[in-house]
Amino acid sequence: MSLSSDRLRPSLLLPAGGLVLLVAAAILLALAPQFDLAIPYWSRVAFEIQSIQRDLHRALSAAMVAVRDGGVIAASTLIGLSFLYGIFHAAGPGHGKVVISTYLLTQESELKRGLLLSLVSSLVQGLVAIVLVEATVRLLGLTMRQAQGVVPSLEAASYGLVVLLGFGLIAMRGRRLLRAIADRPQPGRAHGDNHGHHHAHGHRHDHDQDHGACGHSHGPSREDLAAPLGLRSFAALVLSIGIRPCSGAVLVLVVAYSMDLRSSGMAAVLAMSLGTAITVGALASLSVFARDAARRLAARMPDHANRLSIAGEGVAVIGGMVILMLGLLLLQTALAAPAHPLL
Amino acid sequence: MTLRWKTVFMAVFLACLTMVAGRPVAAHPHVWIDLRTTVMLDDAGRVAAIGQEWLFDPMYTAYATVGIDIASDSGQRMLADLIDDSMKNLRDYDFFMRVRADGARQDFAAPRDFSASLREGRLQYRFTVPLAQPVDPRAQDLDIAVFDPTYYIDMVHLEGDVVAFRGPNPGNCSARILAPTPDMNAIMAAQSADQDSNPDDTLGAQFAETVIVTCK
Repeated sequence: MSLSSDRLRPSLLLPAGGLVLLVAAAILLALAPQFDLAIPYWSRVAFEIQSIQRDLHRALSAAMVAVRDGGVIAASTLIGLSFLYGIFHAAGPGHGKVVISTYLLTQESELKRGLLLSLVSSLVQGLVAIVLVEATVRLLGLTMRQAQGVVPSLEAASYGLVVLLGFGLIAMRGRRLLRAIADRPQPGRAHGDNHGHHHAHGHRHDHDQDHGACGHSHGPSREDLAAPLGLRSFAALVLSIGIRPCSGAVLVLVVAYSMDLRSSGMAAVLAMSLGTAITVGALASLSVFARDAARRLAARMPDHANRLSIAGEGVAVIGGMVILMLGLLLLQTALAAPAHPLL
Repeated sequence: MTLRWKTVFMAVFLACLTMVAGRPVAAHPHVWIDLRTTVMLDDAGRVAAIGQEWLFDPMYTAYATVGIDIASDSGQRMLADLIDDSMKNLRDYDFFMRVRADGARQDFAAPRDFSASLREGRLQYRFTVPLAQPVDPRAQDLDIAVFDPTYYIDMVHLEGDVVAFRGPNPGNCSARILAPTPDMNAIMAAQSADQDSNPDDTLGAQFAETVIVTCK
């Protein structure tokens, strides 16, 4: 089924439309705090979560005191509560989740890598908190309140990395976009597999139904749509999310420290990280599924592989822009934010 | 070729879900304070000052005091430094208090009788803030709210707590503590508030209790 580019145009609208919707969602996701996006039902759910958080926080405080008196059982309670706290409070800062979901929505289709990303960034965040508290209290002999200047610096570093990540994605995906445009088939020319060397055409079996429905499909495979999560992107993502310690983790460590329960505190923070990883991982899965749904939709269209890869790279570039904008916004507010009077 | 509406719908729905689910996580508040409020009356029966007792949660207590040995002189000095510092910083924030007479916000004078201590392992601040101009609660509607404008700190009276009155005829006065009624936007905003990086200083008022003072 060879079609001229003229006849292809209407069918291109569908996948492109789906992808544009996703990009719009990603942008909304990044900008949501700027607008009043009130969704009553979810507000109620959110309010519930807030109450759960308050209860958990009080329970966590009580457990900290109980650990001192109660030994192993209390210690495991602390660790268990920290785990729950991680899930509900998702210990990580909000920007991390926005970065991860925007990245996954626009760049990455591999669930396994999305989950790995969630896990590693959550663990790094826990480890940063542990190192920060150990260094402040043990090495410098300061209270955390006296050392509070460190956290904004880590925060700024973290947001700076978000900016760099955005730049890097725009550059990398922009180059691929230009290449895909250059590879565009000429009108009237049958366009087959000549889509450029970066198309691996590793069709998975889950495409079989698409093949059946459309005769044949040159829809891009997962590999085509997924940016290879290179070491540099991976490190930038993980550090931009994890380098800023969660205050909940810092507080658990400090309380544990003040009670001579350093190892319980560290175990609790790692449990909290695992809890966070579960929440962030769930979010990552949603992003990947959403992207996958768009990809499936797009893959149903025949003879458009090149256009799709242009659309895919375009979305990826826009995703990079969203991440860049988010980083700049965060950096600006972080540098401008007045210190809280009691911190 | 038919448009797969189900697929489109799924994609959009999941994207929306992602958007919402991504938000309620790094939420405010981060510190919890149990409040006690005392209303100080002068000889003319006017409200002259507001007394505050703030009992911080154990986490913040550890944050502010880990490494301080309370029993030692140097520990006591560090606590004194802590409250000095906090009073100085809180001056610009009206000590997190909003006192209104007939809806008009009142100014404060310099705080007095402030001290920090540890009570049952929790950091406690006690201080009194005089009103710049005493307010006659018999002539004007007086209400008091204590809140962190950014809602980094959740400040509420313990359930069942009563506001105390001190002065010549405290029995003439009574107070009701009204629970906060945050609207949904505020709840969403609190849920999405990201630590201290993007403070919204209109948020806290939404989660503040209101103390209504009435005197005979």
